[in-house]
Amino acid sequence: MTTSQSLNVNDKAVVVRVDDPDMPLLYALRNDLELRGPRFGCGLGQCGACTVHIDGVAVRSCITPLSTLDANNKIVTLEGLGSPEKPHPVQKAFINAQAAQCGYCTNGMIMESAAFLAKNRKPSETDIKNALANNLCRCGTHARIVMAVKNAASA
Amino acid sequence: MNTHFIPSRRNVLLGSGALVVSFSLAHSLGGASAQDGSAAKTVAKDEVDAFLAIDAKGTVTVYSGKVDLGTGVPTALAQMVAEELDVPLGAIDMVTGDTALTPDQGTTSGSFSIQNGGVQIRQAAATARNALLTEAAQRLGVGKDDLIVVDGAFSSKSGGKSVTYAELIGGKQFALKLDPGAPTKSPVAFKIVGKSIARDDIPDRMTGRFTYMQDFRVPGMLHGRTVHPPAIDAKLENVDEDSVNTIPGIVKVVHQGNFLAVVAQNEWAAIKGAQQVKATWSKAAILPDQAKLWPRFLHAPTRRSNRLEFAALHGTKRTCLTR
Repeated sequence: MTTSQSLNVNDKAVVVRVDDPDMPLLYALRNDLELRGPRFGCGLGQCGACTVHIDGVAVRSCITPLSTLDANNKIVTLEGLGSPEKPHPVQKAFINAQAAQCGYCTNGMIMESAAFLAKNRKPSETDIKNALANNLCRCGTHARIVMAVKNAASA
Repeated sequence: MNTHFIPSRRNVLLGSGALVVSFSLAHSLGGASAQDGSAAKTVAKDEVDAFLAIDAKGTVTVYSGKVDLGTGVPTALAQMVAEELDVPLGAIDMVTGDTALTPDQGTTSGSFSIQNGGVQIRQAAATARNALLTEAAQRLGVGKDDLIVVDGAFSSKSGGKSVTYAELIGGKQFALKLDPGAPTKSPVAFKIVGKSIARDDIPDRMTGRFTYMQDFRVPGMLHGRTVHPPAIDAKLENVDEDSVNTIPGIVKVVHQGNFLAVVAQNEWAAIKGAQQVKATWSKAAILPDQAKLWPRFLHAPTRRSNRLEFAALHGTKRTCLTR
């Protein structure tokens, strides 16, 4: 049965149409709200491409059912973090370090790093690598990504 | 540099072509009068106009059949053209992968985009530069050797006279065949190529603004997911189409030979459908036992071959042995 669900996405109250309350958040963000930050990678919560912040915590939106969320949860996506005109410090660091090839995994790398840095002011390189251990990149831009996160941490 | 193309301009180029006035540098050099008239944008690979256009403001539009799959190709191609034409990188507009406007430069996959596609565009730029040089010399009444070019403007070494690309060709067609022998700039003189230039597409990719092909949405669009066989060469024997009927939004179960897919009104329904559709596959050759992979490869049949063809093609004397 089709129902509607209220959500708070990037500081805006939105309503999405739901056929199946088990539907993960990712599909509502991409298809109903037409957001392009969160990406479908594996659909199994294993690659990190779909990462968003829910109440400041980095979560895998592809395995987060809509039924677990309500309008009180603050959902932030990559586009809610910043824009080309006003990038978040982590986005800025990624841009400066040119820390992407295709950029498909970047959403996850940035969202994971931003949530991590918000709680870890002075991380070591090992801390950063551990924080990003479950975010996969196939192009091989890891070295630049770690450098960008280090730069963002010390900015 | 600007890799975003304004759709209205595309329409102008595709439409009656009224904006593109046909004026041939070659004709004018040959003494024939400039031809009036108009033509739609060419995509023929032996035409300079297929790859390049310079407008009245001196902006150089580069048309490339190579697209950005995430390697930053448009930025690199813009560098190559800016270098060859001696214009600032900021004077380059890139139009990529629009089959109505860009020449067919073949598949985009990896490094060929520069070594084949880029070299092709560079040669078009070299042809254009050469023609512009000839025209400038005539216009200014000096020898070609007396001219230098800086930021898209020719000037006489002895001072005084100058003329810009925009003044020479702005808004008009080159109407020139691409000259494979047109002299290209010596790498020693490179100022832009070889420099690490920040990619134009990166800020959009870092902020969720870039359009990946997965981001296209068209009205009434349906979603599909394929179902893969459980083993190599497994044959699809039977499909129970009704097995996904209870999922809201399912449109159709598609099967043709061994191809099986589920089409739905939304992506999640397609995913669930593909997971739940009941299908029977034949037993088939399975992959080798993971634990015995190494001995299997060690004892696999081997074949010795001289890679002479490869060597001839790439001008190397190296021969490769394959186990």
